Amino acid sequence: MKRIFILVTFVLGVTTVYGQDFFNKSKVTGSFQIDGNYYWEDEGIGITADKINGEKFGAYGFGKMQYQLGNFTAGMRFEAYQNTPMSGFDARIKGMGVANYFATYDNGTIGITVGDIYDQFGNGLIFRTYEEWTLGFDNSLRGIRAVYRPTEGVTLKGLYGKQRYYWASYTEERGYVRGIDGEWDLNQSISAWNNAKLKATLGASFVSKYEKGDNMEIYGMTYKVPENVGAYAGRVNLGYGRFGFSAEYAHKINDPSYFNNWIYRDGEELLASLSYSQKGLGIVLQAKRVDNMSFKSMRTASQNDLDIGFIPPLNYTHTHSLPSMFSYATQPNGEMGIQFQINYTIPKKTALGGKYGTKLAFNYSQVNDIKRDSIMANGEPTINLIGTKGYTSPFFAIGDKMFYRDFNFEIEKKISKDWHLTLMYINLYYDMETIEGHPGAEAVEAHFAFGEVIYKVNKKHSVRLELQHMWDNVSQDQEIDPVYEEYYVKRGNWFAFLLEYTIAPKWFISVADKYNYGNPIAENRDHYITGSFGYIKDQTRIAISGGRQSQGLVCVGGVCREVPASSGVALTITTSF
Amino acid sequence: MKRLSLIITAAAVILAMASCDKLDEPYNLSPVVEKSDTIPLEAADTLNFDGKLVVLLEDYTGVKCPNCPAAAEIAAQLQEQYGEHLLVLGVHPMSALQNPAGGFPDFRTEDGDDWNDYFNISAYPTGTVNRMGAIGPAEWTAAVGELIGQNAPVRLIVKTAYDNSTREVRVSVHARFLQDVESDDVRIIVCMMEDNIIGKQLTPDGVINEYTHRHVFRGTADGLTWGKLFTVAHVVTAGTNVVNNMKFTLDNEYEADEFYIMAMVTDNNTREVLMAAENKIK
Amino acid sequence: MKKLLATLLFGMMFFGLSAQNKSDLPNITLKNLDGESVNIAELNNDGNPFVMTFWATWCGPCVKEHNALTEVYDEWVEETGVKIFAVSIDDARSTAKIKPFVDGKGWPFEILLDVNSELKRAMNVSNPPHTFLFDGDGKIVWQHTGYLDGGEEDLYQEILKISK
Repeated sequence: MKRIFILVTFVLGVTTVYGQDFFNKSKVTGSFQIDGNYYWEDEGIGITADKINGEKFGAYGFGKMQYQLGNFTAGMRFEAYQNTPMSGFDARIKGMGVANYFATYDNGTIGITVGDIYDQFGNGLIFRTYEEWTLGFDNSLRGIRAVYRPTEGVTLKGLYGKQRYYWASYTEERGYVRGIDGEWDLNQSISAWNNAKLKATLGASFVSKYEKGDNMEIYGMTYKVPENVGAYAGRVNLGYGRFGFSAEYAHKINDPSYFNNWIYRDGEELLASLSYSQKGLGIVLQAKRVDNMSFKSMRTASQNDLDIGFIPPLNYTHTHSLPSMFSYATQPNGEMGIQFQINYTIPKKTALGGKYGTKLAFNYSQVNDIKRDSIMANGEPTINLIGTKGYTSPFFAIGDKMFYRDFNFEIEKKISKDWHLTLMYINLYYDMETIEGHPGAEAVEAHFAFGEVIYKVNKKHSVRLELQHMWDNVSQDQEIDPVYEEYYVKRGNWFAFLLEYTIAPKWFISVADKYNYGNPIAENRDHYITGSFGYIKDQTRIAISGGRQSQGLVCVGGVCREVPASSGVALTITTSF
Repeated sequence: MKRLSLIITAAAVILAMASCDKLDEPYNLSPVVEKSDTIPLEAADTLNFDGKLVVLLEDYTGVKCPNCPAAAEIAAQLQEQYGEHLLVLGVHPMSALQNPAGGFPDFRTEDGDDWNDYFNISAYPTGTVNRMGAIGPAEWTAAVGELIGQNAPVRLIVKTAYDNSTREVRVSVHARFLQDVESDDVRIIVCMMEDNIIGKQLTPDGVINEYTHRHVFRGTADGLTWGKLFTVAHVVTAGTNVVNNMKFTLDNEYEADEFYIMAMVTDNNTREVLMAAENKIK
Repeated sequence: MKKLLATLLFGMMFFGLSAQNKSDLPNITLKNLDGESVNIAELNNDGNPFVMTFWATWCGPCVKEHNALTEVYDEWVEETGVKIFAVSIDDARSTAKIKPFVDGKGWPFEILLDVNSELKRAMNVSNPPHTFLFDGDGKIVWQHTGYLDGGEEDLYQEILKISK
């Protein structure tokens, strides 16, 4: 609060000094969002008064203000999380206050930021700070950052600070993060290459965390632990005409933590992509390997918090309500994945393309575990034992256990001036045991069909109907061991529809139902009916929705939040100025 | 500009070199506990178990603490009343009241001192009942009485074997969970205890030379002050069996005939004792 | 520490003032699909209005909006000289996919990659899609959040209002 006060004082101070001129040149902008939820009991899906625990009303909101004056920018964000157990947020995010503030001066050559920093080195493998409001996720770095661009095409960055940990004070125990990054765009910096067909950018970064204490008690034993953990990464981006190639490799030294079961093995990560594209056709192939790369600024952190590095999931992000119940979450301790995607537009005025062209998309992703070989510890072969180097793993060997596989095919076609059709087929394998951390859970092997029809009533009015079906490998007659009942809440066949009427650009109203008719447990065969109504005016959006929310995962950028089933109404307002 | 780049490069190199602590094995700095073969349970062991909680009363005491014998008396009375459902452990931490200077016996242990610090005990006698906070002797009776008769979440049995010639002690602690325990840090602490040691003790009436010190804590058998962890799952489910084996050589100054192994299962997040058991080594 | 911070702040504001502030475009550098750095503050369309959309590959309405804009784009350019900058807020998971995705969909817009949502934050965008219309001087004249089928028509009316 005190620091805000200083900020305001200076703003006022400068205002007085520069008077009228100041107002002409300075600018204040901001945005604002509020989500309010009111929950009620719903015995049908197991929402008892006990579960709500008297906290029927949950509200989350933020307000952001930014002040700009030429090369100077300052801003702050106020947050309020009055979350209830029904909202699924980490309980520690409950609270309110000014969560974030910063001030930046950047003249194009030199940039300095003090306060809360959001930045990323390369793909973010060893450093990325970002916030995701819907997840209650924010790992911003409070400290200082300097950016220096000595010549065209060269950027050097250095930063130092401590990460946000919910509402915990920044004087509390947790590590410091420091990092440097350099990027060199060869085409921009070497004049002879300015117009070369080959485009090349190189980059390298080094990040280190310091956490006090060179030994600590872990499960009753005392282990030596590193106070300084360093990680480095190098990257390359190449483009040659229609081809593109990019790769980044990261390495991290011994970093025992709660997350990797306190092993001392070095971490490694490789991310590579190859692409080809021309007008109407895009092909991309990506591969990655992650081995022991959880990188957090507190050794004992056990949730989605204090991440220094970011492990990008490569798989396709499903947005339709049924397949998105089974979203993949990256496994920092080890995974190997590939992803292949083709987007093709059949040109207009051809036999298959028709009058408007037809858009096709094909996607295949698969993620497996890495292969782990045992090492000798205390005279016995072990894998992943506390206080050892853990295991060895051949770089190119793929583990037997499959975490996730998805192949899907989509056709999108404008049939006539008024009719628009989208069809999609999805085949999904989802290892619930690993992804949701439910030991013994049966993997999901499901097929999905999705169809969407849009009919334009006139220029502004349109009707949209969405139908979905999921065929699960768990059948309705399957007998379920009572011990594992909770793993079956969203299993079995589903049917879903959504009917929406919109009046562009302002009004929308929709009704939707998800019906888990094939659940093996009779009392789980529930309808999840919801209705929404909304109004948009310029940058302001107001939406009200009500009904049943099924248990699910909200995943953004590899971080997922488990949202329990609930029943109630929600009001969302967003605006900016 | 060039100089600035040079400074940045130099700073980067220094940062890189100073910011990596590469460690070498062994990583574990704890004492090495010798493993031993399991001493199996016998039918009688399980038949004797009545399913009820065995409560642990820890008496933080001192040889130069005049009021402590009175507290030991309360503990003895409670034990008489509740029999095998109450265990007592006399813990001697490291304050002036435990200092052996002047011919008093030295019962101090580092483990006991760490426990003492955790419960923030600075006045003696003070005790803990199942480690649910430090309380004065006046409150012991009520605290113990509240727990007695409850169902045990764990069946805990200590099996021992002793070799007279080598003084080798072998221990097997058998734990079987009867209820789900919601914790990601459940541990077994194995303590050495010697009963009925004759030695000096300060009392309100002056020094008694031949005082009988009961239930003296002699340190943890494996050197693990807060015990050994056996699960990192978030819940220990009913039906889980755990066996913790170890062996050590009995110190010559300890009397084998009065020597006990006491074990407790704790939820280390709260330090609460879930169940306790003891057995004589001979 | 606090004193240092305050001094630094004051210094930065002082320098900030000496610079000019013509437009609503922040001084942020993003990459385009060829990997070239683009300073957002210097975005322009030779004095003609331009549109900036925020989108993501995982955002259904965004894809719809851009498909719809693609259909009318040639016509709009001819009539008004407008240009569309489509800012992708996809993070590293999709960075490499964007070029094939855009080409595969046949979108004719100039794509910018806001990999860590820097521009999104600076422009106070909460959720994609979010569309801004700038006049020839880079001043925001209109903005809209969300996309409903047919919503592009409204944008076109706004463009017509300011195009010469």
